Amino acid sequence: MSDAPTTRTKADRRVTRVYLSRRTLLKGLLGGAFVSIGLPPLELFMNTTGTAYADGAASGFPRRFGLFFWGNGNIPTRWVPKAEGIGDAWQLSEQLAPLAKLKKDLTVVTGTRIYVPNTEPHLATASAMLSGHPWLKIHGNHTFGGPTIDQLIAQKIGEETRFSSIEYGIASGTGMSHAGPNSVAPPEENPFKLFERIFGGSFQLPGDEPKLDPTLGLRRSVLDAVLADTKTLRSQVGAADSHRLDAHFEGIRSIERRLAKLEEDPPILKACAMPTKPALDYPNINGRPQLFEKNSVMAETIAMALACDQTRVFSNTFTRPVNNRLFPGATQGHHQLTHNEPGDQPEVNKITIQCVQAYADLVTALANVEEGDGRLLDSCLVFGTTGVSLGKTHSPEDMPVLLAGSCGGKLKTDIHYRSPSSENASKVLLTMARAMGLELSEFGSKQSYVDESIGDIEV
Amino acid sequence: MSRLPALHARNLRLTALGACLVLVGCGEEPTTKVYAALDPAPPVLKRLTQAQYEASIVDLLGAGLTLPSNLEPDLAVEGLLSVGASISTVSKRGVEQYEAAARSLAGQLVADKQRLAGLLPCVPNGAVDVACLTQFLTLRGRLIWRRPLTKAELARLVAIGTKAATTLKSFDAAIEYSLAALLQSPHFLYRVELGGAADDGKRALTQVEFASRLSYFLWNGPPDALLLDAATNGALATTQQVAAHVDRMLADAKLERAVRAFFGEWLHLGDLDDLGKDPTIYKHFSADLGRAAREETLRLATSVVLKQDASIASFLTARTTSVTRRLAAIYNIKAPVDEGFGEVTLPAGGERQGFLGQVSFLALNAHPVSTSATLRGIFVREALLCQSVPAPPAGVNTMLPAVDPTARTMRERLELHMSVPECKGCHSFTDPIGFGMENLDGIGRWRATDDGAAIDATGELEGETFGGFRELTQVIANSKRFHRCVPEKLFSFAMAHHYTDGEEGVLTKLTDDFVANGSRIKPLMRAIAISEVFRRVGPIQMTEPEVNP
Repeated sequence: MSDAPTTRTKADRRVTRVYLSRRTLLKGLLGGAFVSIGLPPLELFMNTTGTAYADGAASGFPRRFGLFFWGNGNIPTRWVPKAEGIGDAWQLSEQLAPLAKLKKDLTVVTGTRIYVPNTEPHLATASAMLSGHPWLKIHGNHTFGGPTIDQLIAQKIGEETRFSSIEYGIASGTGMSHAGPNSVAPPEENPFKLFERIFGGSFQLPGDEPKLDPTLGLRRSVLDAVLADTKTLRSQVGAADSHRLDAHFEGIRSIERRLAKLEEDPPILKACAMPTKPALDYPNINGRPQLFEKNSVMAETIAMALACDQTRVFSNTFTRPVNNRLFPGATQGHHQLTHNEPGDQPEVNKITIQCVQAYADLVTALANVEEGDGRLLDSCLVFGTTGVSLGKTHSPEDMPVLLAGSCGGKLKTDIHYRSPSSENASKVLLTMARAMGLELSEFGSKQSYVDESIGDIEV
Repeated sequence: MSRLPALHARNLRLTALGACLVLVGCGEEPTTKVYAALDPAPPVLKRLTQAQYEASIVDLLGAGLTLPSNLEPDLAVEGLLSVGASISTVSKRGVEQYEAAARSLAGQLVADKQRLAGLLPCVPNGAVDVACLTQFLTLRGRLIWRRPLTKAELARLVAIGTKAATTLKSFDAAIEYSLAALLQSPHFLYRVELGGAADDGKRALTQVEFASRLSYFLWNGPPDALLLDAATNGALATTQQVAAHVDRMLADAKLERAVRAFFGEWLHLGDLDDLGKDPTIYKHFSADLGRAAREETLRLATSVVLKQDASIASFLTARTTSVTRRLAAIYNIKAPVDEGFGEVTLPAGGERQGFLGQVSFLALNAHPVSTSATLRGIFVREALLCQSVPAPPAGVNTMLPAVDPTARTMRERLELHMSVPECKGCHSFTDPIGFGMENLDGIGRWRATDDGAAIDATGELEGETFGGFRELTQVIANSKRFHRCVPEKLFSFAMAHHYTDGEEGVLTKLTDDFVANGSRIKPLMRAIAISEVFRRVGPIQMTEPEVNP
C-alpha cells in the first residue's frame, strides 16, 4: 500500500483496514445540504491482485474468532475419535459425524481436563473451560471468575470494528459470554433483531455513499455529556461500583466509535453483501424451540457481519448449561435426559449429535463465503465446546473441544490431538488467544492456570 | 442470636455430604428479645431493573409511549432481580440499548405535540429559546435524575439543546436531544446512593437519595414532586416526617407495582415467559399459558396484600383466584368469563388451594414432560422456607433407575435413587415435599395415578404430617419458618442485598413484629420503610470486593 490516502483517520493509522474517509472532506457541512463530491475509484485501495486489502496476515484478511457453546455435555465414549494424528490418520467419531464435510478444516482436541473445584456442576466447569478461571463467589453472587475467551479477545481487537463483539444465542438464556465477574454480555436471541442491529438503519454496503446525517454530531454531543456524567460519578463511588461504571463508560465509548464508523466509507470488502432478512419471529412449535432454523439464519447474518468487517468476534450460546429444552424427536428435556435416561443414553447421544450439527451449520456458513482467493472460514477460529463432558456425572474429565478454521494459517487443521497426560483445558484457551494475536505467555488462575499452549496444533 | 453466622448466609454452597441435614434447625426464633445493634451496609449503585425503568418512564413522561422492547436483561442474584441490580455490570450492548431507548422515547415525546405541551412549563419563542429550555430542564431534569441538577449539569444540557435547536432549526430538537441526554445518563439509569453525615453525625443516605430508595421500594418507580420537595427542603428527616410520606405512598395506587415486582421476583415468575411443555403430553399447554399463569398469581398476591391486607398464609391457602378460560380448564372448573380473567372460588374441601396449587408454581417447577419432586422441593425450601439446598456433589452418577414394574411412580423411583448415600442427604431434604405434590402433574392438572399406579402423597414436614397436597400447603402456610422467611425476602428486595451480619438484629426485630401482627405484608413494608436500617449506610467501600471460591 504505497499510495495510502492522505485523509485516513487516526483509527485507520492504528489498524490495518484501508478505506477512504469522506468525513474530513465534508467536515463543516453538517446541517447543510447533502454534497456530492467526486471520488477516485475505490479499487485504488485494493492490493495488486485485487483480492484483499493490506494486512500483515498471510491471507491479507483480519483474523476472526467465534465461540459456539451448547449445554449439558457429550458422551465421551461416542465422542472421542479412535485414532490420533493428522489427515487420513484419524477419522470422525459417531458424535462428530455432522462435521464430515468440514474434517479438513477441523481440529479436535480431546483428553484435556478441568481442575478447578466442581462446586456447582455445569457452571464451575463452564467457567474454567471458557475463561480459565474458577467459579467464584464475588459480592455474594456466584459468577464466572474472569472474562470468557471471546470477550478477552474482543477487549484486545474489538476496537477495530463497529462492534467489538456480537453475542447471540438460539435458546441461550443469560448466555455464556462474560466480560468479567458479574458481567454477563447478554446474547440477542431474536434473529430479526440481530439482523437489524448489524444491517438495519445506518449500515452501508461497500461502495455506498456515506450517510451525511446532521444528527450524528448531536448524538455525539449527548454522548460527551453522558461520558462526563459517568466520569464524575465514578470519582465518588466505591471500588466495586467504579468497575461497574468503567464498563458503562466503555459502552458509551463504543457507541461513539460506532458513530465515527458511520461517517467513514464502508471498507472495500468484496465478500460483503446484504444477508437474507430473517423472519420477524421464530416462535416455539409444539413447545419446542426452532433451534436449527434460528441457528442457520443467524449463522448467515454473523458470516456477513464478519465479511463486512462489522465485527471480528462473536459468540453463539446455542443452549445454556442445565437447559431442559425439548429437542426435535426427544421424549424429555435435555438435562432431564442426561440424568434420567437409562443404559447407553441413545436420546442424549442424538441430542449431542444435533448440537454438533448446529456447530457444523455455523462453520459451513463461514466456509460458504468466498473471500479473496479462499473462504471466510480460513481467517476464522471457531471454538465449539460445552460446560461438562459426560452430563450424567457432570464430569470435568476429557472436555469436548472443537476448533474450526486455521485462524489465518496460525493453527493446523485436520488433526485429532489427544492429550497424553490429561493436560489442563486452559492450554486450549492459551493456544487460541495466541493464534488470535494476543501476546500471552500464561493463562487463567488457580487450578486453571497454565503457562503452556498446545504446540502440536500450532503452526 | 441463635443463628450460626456461618449458616445464615443463604447462598453458602456446602459440598460436604449431609450438609442439608446440618441446615435443618437454623432459623430458630431468638430466645432473648435483645436485638443486636445496627451496623449499616455500605452504599452501592443500583441499576434500574427493566420494570423500574418502564415505571419511571410512565411516571416521568406519561403513559402511552412505546417502551423499549430490548433492554439489558436483569440478573437474578439470590433469586431477586433487585439484588442483581446492585451487583451486575452493564454490557456494551446494554449501553447501546439504553442510548437507543433514550432516543426513541425523546423522539416519541416531541412527536406528540399534546404530550409535549403538557410537559413544557413555557411557550417557546422561536427555535432557540434558552430561557424556556432552561426552565424545562430544571423542572423535568430534577424529576428524571431524582435530584436538583447542578449548575454545570444544567449548562451542559442547555448547550446540547441549543446546539440541536440551531442545527435542526427547531425548539423540539432542543427538547429531544437534551431529554435523550437526561435519559441515558447514569444519574437516571442508576439509583445513586453515596450517603453523608446525618444530623447525629452518623452516616446516612442524604434525604434526596432516601426519597428514591423509598419510592423504588414502595412504588417501584421514581419519587414524585412532593417527595422530592420534602427531601430537598430537609423535611424528610425525622421518623414522623418519613412516616407521613410512607403512609401517603402506601395509599397510592402505585403501591401495586411494588407488590407485583416483589412477588414476581421472589417467586421467579419472570421465568414463565419461557415456559416450555410437550403439548403431546400436556394437551392444555399453549404458548401464552405462562403469562396467564403469572397474572393469576400476581392477582392473588395483590388481593391478599392490598385488597384484604391478610396474613401471608392466605397466599398459600386462598380458595378464591382469578382465571382465564384456559386456566379454568386446567383446574377442571367452569370458566367464569369468556375473555380475560374472572374470579372463581374453588370448592371447599377441594384438591387445591393457594399459590402452590396454581399453574405458575406447578408448571414452572417441573420438567417439560413430567413433574419434578426435586425441583418443587427445592423451590419450597429456598423460596418459601429460606433454607439452602447445596448443589449435587461432582462425579456422582445422577442417573435415575428406569421405570420398572416395582417402581412406577416418581416417589418409588426416587426412593430407589435415595439408597445412594451421596444423594440421600439432600434428596431426602427436598423430594418428600415434592412427593406431596405428585397429584398435580407437570402443568398443574389433578391426577389420581402416575403411570397407572396410585400416588402416595403423604409425608411429613417441619414436624407436621400431611395426608396429601392440600394438607401439605396448609403445613407450609402454618409453619413458623415460612412466616420468618417472608420478611427476609422482602428485606432483601427492599435493601437490594442479602442481609448482612450488621443488619441481622434489625431484621429479627422486623420479623418478630411481622409475626406478632398477623404476618401482613403491607405493614411490614411500612415498618421497613420507616426503620433506621432503611436510611442508614456504612462508609463507602474503597476496597475490592471479597472473593470466595
